[in-house]
Amino acid sequence: MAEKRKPASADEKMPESNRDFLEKSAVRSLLRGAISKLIENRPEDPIAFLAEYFDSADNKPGSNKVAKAHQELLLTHHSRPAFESNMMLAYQILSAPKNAKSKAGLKGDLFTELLTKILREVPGEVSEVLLKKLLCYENEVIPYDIFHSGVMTCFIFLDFYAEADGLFTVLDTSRKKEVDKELCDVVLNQLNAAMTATKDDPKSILEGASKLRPDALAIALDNAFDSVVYDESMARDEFVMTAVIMFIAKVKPLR
Amino acid sequence: MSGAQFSMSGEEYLARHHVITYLEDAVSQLLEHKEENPRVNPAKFLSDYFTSVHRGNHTLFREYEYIKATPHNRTAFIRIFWKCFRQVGKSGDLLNAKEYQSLLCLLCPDFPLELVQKTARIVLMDDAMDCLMSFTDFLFAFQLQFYYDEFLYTASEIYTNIMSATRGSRDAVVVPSVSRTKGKPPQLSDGPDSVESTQFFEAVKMLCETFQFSHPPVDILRGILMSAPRVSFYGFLMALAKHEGINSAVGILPPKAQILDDTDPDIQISSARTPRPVSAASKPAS
Repeated sequence: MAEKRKPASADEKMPESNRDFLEKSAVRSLLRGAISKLIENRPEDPIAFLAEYFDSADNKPGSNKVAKAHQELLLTHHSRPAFESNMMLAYQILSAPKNAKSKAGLKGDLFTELLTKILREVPGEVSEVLLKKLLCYENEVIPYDIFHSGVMTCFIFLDFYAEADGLFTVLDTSRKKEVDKELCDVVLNQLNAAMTATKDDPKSILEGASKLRPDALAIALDNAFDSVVYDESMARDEFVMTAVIMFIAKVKPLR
Repeated sequence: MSGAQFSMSGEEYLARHHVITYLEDAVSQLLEHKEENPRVNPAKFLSDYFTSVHRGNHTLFREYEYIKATPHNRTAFIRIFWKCFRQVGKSGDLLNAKEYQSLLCLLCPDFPLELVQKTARIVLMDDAMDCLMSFTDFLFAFQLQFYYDEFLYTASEIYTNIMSATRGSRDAVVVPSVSRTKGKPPQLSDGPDSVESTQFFEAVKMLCETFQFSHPPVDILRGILMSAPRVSFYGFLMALAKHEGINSAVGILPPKAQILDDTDPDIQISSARTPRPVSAASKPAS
C-alpha cells in the first residue's frame, strides 16, 4: 500500500521510466517508511509530520545526532507503545560511530546534551537539580537501561512540571499570581503523600491516586480553610519549585 | 487528546487526514517535475511539497479538482483568494458573477462558473443574477458555498423534498439519506417558497449526523432555523453566510469587521509571490 498508484495516463506514456525512476530514487521505500511511521505514531498534524520526515530523510546522516535523536523521541507521547521503539532508534542514532575509525557507543557528553535538550522548556535552575542526579561522566559509556531511565525520567518530569504549574493556576482563584501559603502547603503535602508508591506494594499506587482525587483534595483544603491566617502567600515559582523538588527527591541518583 | 487517533484503524487515521490523497498528488507532481528536471532530489521535493501544504500555499495555480479535494485545500484556496483580491474590496469596487469568476481563474485556471453562480445566488437571494456584489459579501458567500458544497447540495434536495411533500401528498415521508436523486440541483425560483423551519431543521440535523463531508455546526443551524417559523432556502443560506460562527468554524478568515484591514503583515500582494508551491513550478499560470 505504500507504493503509489500513478495516474493511468502517466503510466501509459512512459511506463518504464517512471517506474524505474521511483525504484532507483528509493521513493518507494521512502513513502513506505513515511506511512508506517505515521500509523505507528499517529501525530495530530500528519502533514507537518510528513514535511519533517522527508526533510530529515533529505539531510545527510551524521549532521546533528542529538537533534535527530531528540526529534525521534518527540514523535509520540511517552505513554504510547511506539515510544519504546522510538527510544531504541534514538539510542542507535546516538551510538552510531562518528567515523570509520572510532568505535560505536554512546558517551556521557552526548547523553548530557540530549537530556538538556529535552528539558530546555523548563527554567534552568529547575532542570539543573534534576540533571545533577541523572548525569554521567563525560567519558563514561552509557548502556541502554541507563539511557532509557534517564530519558523517561526527563519526559515524566516535563509532564509533572506542567501539572504542577496547572495546579497553581487552579489554586490561584483570585488571579493575584499568589496563593495563600497554607493552601499551598496542604496541596503539596497531599501531593507528597501520594508519591510514596513503591514497587513492592502495589496497593500503594492506588492509595496514592486516591489521595489526589478531587474529593480527597477538597476535604484537605476544607480543613485547612478553618485555620487559614491570611498573612503569608506563595508565588508560582516557589510553589512549582517545591513540587519539583519533591519529585526530584524520588529520583534515584545514578551513583 | 492523544487517545482519539489511536482508537481508529490505521486506514481510518490516514483517511481522516487525507494523507493518501496528498501522497498520491505529491508523487504525481514529482513525476511531472522530473520530466523537466531529471536530477531532482525526491526527498527534498517531497519535503518542500508537504511544507507548502502545511503552510497552506499549495493550492495556488492548481487545478480545480485538487483545490476541492480536501477541506484543508479548500480553506487554503479561500485564504489565497482573500489575500490576493482584498484590494478589490478596499477600493469598494462592485463586480458581477462573471468578473468574480475571472478573478478566481487567475488563481485556478479551470475554476467553474457554476460555483460562482451558486455563490451569487446566495448573495442576491436567487434573483437578478447580473447584479453587482461587494467583495465582502461575495467572499463570505463564497466561503460558505465552496467549503460546504456537498452539504448545501444535499440540504437543497431535502428542502425540495419537504416542499413537494407538503404541497403534494399529505403524508409523504422525507428520508434525507435516501433522497439522493441524480440530476441538477432543484430550481427554487417558482412559487412563494418556504418550509416549516422545525421540519427542515430536523431533517438537516439527521443529515449532519451521518454526513461524510464537512457540515456547519448543528448549534448554528439550530439558531438560524429556530428564529422564525418558516424559512426559505436562500434565506437560510444568506443567514449562514452572514453568521460569524460559520466563519470561525471554517477558521481561515479573520472576523468580518477586520476583513479589509491591513494589520497582518504577510497579507500584502507580495504574499502571492512568497515561496512558490513546488507543485506550481512546472505549471505556468496561463
